[in-house]
Amino acid sequence: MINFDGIKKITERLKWKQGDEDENWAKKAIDNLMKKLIKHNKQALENLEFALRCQGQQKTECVTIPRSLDGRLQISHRKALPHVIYCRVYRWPDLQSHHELKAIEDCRFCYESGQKDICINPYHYKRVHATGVLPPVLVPRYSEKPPQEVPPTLAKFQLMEMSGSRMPQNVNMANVNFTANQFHQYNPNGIEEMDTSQKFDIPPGVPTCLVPFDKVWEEQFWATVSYYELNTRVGEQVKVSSTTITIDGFTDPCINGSKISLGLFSNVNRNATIENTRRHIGNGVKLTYVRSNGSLFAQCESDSAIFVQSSNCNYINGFHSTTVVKIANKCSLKIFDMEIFRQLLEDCSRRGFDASFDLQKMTFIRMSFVKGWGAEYQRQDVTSTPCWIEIHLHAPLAWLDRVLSTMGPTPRPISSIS
Amino acid sequence: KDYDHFDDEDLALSIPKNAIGVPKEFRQQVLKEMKLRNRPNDILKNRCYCNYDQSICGNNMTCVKQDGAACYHAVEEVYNKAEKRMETLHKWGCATLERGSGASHLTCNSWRAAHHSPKSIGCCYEGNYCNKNLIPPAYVHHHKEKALQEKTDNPEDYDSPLENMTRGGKMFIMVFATVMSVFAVIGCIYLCITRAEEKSKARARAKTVSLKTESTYMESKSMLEDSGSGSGQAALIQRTVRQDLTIIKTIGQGRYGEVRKALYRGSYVAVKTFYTTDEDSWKNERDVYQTNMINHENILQFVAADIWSEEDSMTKMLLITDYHELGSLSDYLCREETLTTDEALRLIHSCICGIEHLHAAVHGTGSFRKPEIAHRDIKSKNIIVKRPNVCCIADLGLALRYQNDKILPEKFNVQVGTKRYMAPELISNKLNPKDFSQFKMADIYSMALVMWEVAIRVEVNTCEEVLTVDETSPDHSASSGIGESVSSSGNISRMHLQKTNVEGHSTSLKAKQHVPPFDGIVHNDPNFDEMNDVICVRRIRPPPDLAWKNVPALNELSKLMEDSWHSIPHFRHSALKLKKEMAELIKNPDRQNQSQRKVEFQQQDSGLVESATNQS
Repeated sequence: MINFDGIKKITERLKWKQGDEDENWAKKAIDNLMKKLIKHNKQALENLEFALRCQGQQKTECVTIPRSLDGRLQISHRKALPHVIYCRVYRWPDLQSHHELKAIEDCRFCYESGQKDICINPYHYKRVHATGVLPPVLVPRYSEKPPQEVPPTLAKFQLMEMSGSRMPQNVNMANVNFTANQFHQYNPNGIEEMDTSQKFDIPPGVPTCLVPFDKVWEEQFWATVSYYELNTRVGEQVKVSSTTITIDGFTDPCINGSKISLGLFSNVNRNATIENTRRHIGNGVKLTYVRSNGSLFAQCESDSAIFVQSSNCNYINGFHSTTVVKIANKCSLKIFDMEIFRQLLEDCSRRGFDASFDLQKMTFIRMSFVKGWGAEYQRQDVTSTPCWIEIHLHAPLAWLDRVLSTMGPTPRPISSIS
Repeated sequence: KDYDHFDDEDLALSIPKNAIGVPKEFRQQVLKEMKLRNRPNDILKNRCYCNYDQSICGNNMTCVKQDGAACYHAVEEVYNKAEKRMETLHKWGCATLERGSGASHLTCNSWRAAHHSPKSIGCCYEGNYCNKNLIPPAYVHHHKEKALQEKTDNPEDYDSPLENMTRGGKMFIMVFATVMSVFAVIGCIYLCITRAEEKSKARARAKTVSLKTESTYMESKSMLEDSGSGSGQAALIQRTVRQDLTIIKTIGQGRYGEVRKALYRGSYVAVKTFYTTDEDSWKNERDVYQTNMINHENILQFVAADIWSEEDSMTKMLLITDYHELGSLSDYLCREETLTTDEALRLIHSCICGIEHLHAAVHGTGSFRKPEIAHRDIKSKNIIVKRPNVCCIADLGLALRYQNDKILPEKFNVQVGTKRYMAPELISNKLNPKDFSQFKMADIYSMALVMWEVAIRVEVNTCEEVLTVDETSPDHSASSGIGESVSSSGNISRMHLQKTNVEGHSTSLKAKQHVPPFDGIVHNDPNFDEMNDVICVRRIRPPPDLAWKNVPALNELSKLMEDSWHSIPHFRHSALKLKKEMAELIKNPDRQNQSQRKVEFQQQDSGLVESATNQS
């Protein structure tokens, strides 16, 4: 009667949830929708199936459900506008409010039209940039491990890679295997549409000034780690050379290059909150840098979660660039992908200095221990969290620098050169 | 009456009602009764099954509870590291009799509370090993995420007991809900069956939901207490300086970041932002600004420093200083208006006062002392015009401090600053970084170039001979008379001049257009080789204006400049000497001979000098 395979496929995609979201919220939302559609509008169910299958490649019909009295729909304990709910479930897990959505022109029953029925076809809305949006907080449901920890069943991928195959590295540890290619299938429109607001017209035939990056990561140090407490920088910056490094809350004084103990850093202006938080850093985080392809993984070793803001990682998943990802104990996530950075740099280098310079943001990764920040938290800004670090990735920075130096100066006048 | 206090704390709560206010003689009796009651009575009714070690359970796996206490069976999910899977740990034993309750309620109800790992406990009170076959209640409120995590970590452990338990729990709720709905269906038999069913289901669901939210609240509360993560109750976040800033507009752009005008607690401030990659520069500038006794009329007033994250999720380091409408000296000299000799002298004098204060060590009482400071990046763009005639020194990011025979910061690069303004010994890398005074001498060189920049903007209208020279060859004057190299900025300045020629023939002709030193000789952003060739090999310096000869003060100023940009650092004037000479020039601009120089040099800062000259 209904093609449940399609629905199953959809639920497989739900790899992320918002921080305060019920474990089964998205599933419940889908169940609710199915029931509504079966009851009111069986044709629409097929339309929805079709829309989800072609992912915005083709024109699709409206999928409507009746509008409730206050316009909102309750799923589990959460009440929200129906089109926001289904856009979030099917396309953008980081979506926070209807201010970030705009209906396409073809949509006859869009939310703004205020009709009795409301269209919830996720491909009838596009993402717009809303100002003053707090960073959304997302939690991965699956773990992405660095390649050396891949179990034997997946070792063939590595073998293929060693034999020169260009198989993408981000093999997933979860029961659902998905690679970077699948990522792009999953979210191509999400990424594209988020970019349209700042897209430039590139005249054809403009040469790119991309510098080959083969030598970039032969440097000894691959990152610099700076530790902060609230809005204060604490201790010396640490340059990292070991490819796996643990940043923990203990006081191990031996500096063997594979560990940074935050317990050693002293700060005379430390308050009780910071002290308390430092006690909960515990085993902290393990960072694994894969030198061969420049990707970085973070695994939470602490009993308390860590919170990561990496605009590269957000780009890969098609999230809002400021999204904060919550990583729970033992969960691992790829937080930087050099291949994506390379593609972006190639793209931006055609757009000029400012666009490329903006990529600098991707080379900084911020990570808070124990306490989170963002839309769902009291703390709106990382500089309000008690213990956090910033990681500067050297290879992409050096590479970006090389590209920038081959370009002309910025169109914005630099008033002072020192 | 003789009332006694109960010393035995253990009995404090279990006093029978009629024992309150009992005279002393009765008390002994009460205590006796109590002791008798509290002693475990080894009868079958008090025996529980026990699996702890011998010290507790004895040889026959039995413990004896107190009257009224419970026997328990506790279970806990623990992770077996050796076998890499979850295991259920069972514990049997006797619960204690709790004070005030006469039973073991606290122990027996502990399964209801949130636990980090799945735990539960079941109790029975009738003794006779009743706990041996007791099944504890299902787990509640344990960390779902953690469980999920362990699940994904160990995919083969899908059917761990934990999973079974939670599944069992869910099943129970589902069965409960269906039973409820069946009841509801019977109750509402007249109504449309489907609707009734839906409704009751919804009600049942709502009930479980409210239970759940309560539990999450409990969980988050407990997390808050132990400072765990999660969105818990409101904790007040400390406001910092950044939250009091209202950004108005961007006023400058550099490689380090931006300078913006902002409103801070009712007054305008300038906010300079740094990327975290330039932390050293930010930290150094902040530290220099926060040096003891650095406050000076001619040094930019520092307000605050902060770190914050911008909306685009970039960490920025901020330096907040006073804001001055007139902008940098470079901007000020670029205006159409020209300067009078007096204005120029005062501008230069105030700059030198600032530099002199930086260079000097000042000693206060106790540990208060200002170290000697070398600026290392003096140029007209780094000097701010506070108000007409008064400048202040800004941009201390590269400054070095000399304290207790040590140079701070300890790690620094020698060849930094703006190459155009760099002293020859720096360009040729001959400066000895161990000798701090050499950095100060390099500052004087850069200051001499700034003096020239100011001086060429003076309107000299006393000499007609010069005027005609200017009028006949305006192009020449723009490129400072030396070299005809085609640099972009040279072209621009020449275009500017032609424009002003057309527009204001009478006013701006007499003074030259503002140009940076060596304009037309070196490129816009010159490299070391280029600068080395110009200032070390060819020893070119900015050309003095011919007209200056006719103005005694400018003539003197020109001599001071030439002394100060001398190739040999030791031949240059000190900042103190320059300051005194400038004060004298301002006071007595028309002096012709050297003999008049012996005038008191008591004025120590520009403010004093200003008032002194105003009186005369």
